[in-house]
Amino acid sequence: MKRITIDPITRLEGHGKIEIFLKDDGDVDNVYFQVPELRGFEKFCEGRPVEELSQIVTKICGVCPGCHHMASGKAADAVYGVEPPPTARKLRELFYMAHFIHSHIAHFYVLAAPDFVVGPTASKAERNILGVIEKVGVDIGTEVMKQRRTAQEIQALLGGHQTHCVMNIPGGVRKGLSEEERADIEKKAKGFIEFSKFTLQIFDNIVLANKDYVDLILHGPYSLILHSMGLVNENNKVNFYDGKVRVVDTKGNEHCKYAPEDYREFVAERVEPWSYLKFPYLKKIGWKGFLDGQDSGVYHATPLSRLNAADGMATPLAQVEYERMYETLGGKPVHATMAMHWARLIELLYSAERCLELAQDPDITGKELRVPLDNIPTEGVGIVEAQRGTLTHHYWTDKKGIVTKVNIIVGTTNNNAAICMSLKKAAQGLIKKGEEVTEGILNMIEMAFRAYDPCFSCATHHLPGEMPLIVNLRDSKGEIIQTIKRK
Amino acid sequence: MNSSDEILVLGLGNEILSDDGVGVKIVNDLAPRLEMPGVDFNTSVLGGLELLEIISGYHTIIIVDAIMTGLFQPGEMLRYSLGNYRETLHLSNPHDTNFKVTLVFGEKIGIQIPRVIRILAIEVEECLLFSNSFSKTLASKYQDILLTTQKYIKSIIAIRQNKLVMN
Repeated sequence: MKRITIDPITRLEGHGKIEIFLKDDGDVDNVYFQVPELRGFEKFCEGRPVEELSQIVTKICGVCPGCHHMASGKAADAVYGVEPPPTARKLRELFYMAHFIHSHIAHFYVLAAPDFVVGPTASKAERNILGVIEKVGVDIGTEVMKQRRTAQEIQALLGGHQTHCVMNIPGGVRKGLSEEERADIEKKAKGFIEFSKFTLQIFDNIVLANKDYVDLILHGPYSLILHSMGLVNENNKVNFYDGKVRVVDTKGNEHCKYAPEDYREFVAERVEPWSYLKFPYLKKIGWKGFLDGQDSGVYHATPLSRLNAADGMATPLAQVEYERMYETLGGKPVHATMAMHWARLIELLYSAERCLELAQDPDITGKELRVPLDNIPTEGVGIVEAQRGTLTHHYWTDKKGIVTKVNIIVGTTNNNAAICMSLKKAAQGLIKKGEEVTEGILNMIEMAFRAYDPCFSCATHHLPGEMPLIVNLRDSKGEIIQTIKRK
Repeated sequence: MNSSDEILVLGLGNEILSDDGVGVKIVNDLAPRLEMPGVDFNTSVLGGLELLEIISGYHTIIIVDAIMTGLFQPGEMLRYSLGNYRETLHLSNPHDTNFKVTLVFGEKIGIQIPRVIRILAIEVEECLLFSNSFSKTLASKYQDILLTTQKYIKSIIAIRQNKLVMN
């Protein structure tokens, strides 16, 4: 048996790797994606006042701090049995839209676009943001940075800090919004909408207008038939901040819809001896192994799954794009992994439109920012959609509000099984007996997990992406027969 | 945009991840000791594009970060520049770009990139465990690390300020 290892080497310890095992005949036998786990976060939280957690969790990960801040804030609300007043709730969501805009812009232009604009098999030296601006123009690079910065300014204004936000307190938020600040955000939101439309146009021009890319999306080795999870509002429209978690099966029928506090009735986590990360699955179906299809318990929680799980988008322009995507790709649900990139851009447009809606909402400059905490704290669950999947925070406290236990299911962890399966399918489709495994082929395998926008900084500390890689091809005796280094 | 005559001392890392946050603690500890006109101190948890806005406009940046090579004793200080560049734990961001691409990208879109970039990397041994304390090894050496770092940063500041006086 031959083994191919894709191994980021930035850290001596703590790095993730992809192990591809080949059969003696050269075909792919199996693929294992392994990432190390950060240890001790639950212990770190125990003994602290629950109101401190929303600030501590922003330090789990520098990539999605706003998501943890929101899930934590909602869990703390639930611990005290309170609902924030409308102004506080809308300020939180406004912050969160800026967080999504910032993150989705970065993913498309810096991580996804190089594969399509420069080409999936282009050299590593060209396949990055520099290659993108070389092809589409320096002005776009300037605009990307401007829009990211603008989104960060909104996060810093509302959150108190763009990364280590401090806005949430149990029952509300610390500070409100002045009319002058509101007007500024309204202006910025209009800019986000224009930039989102422009970005979708780029996707049209570069990806959808290229028959090879459309074939790659629809017929390449990137499709998995999985159940889809996403948060929806009372009308079953996509919502990132609030609502119920809805899961539709592989055919688009509702499998379940549950309130955050009921998550343990519907989701269980499997432990595999070869992985530090757990593998969540749908409890009522059960764990059937790393299999796709209607009978599998594996689901995904991604931009595409959110759109699959919903009946539509809650804003008009995003709804038009939503309908266009499903019409183009053959109807709901879509199971093409690469369609996540398109879904992410539809979410970008939704976030921009929702940002404007909230900035124009009369409640947003209200003065009632929190409710009193009259109940004895006990236990609470907060769920939001992180950019990378459904994020669950569950806290238990004593009667004084001191944390006794914490459970967190990170967005990317939902997709752990799906990522492993996507990598296997891509490897099986791309590595052929007797053919050299080139860097281009390895990149096309990596594209399978890049589509998920995985963030193992939360549950781990690292992920393969821009990092250096070593690939070893080993023969059946374990001896290296080919090495590819990428630095 | 920052003044082009200024120096930035930037600590990188996660303060609640054991040794990972050594760069942040060093810069926070040195800021009151080295406070002087023309020298700013800042910290960040992320590299990559996030750094562009932090470092833009400065003439000189001194980055203090953790590194884990396994080739040196924990606490040993390694010095890098773009000429002998080596990845530290936070200079690059796996969610966007690596440090070198970040600098070139910044230049291409018209951001003023520092002319002098110095990287101080502290070898560490534990950065996967949530803790606001260092590993025992690093904790026992921390005061020495701080003094060594202080001397080095003062020397870089002196070189820059002497050049400004001569001009």
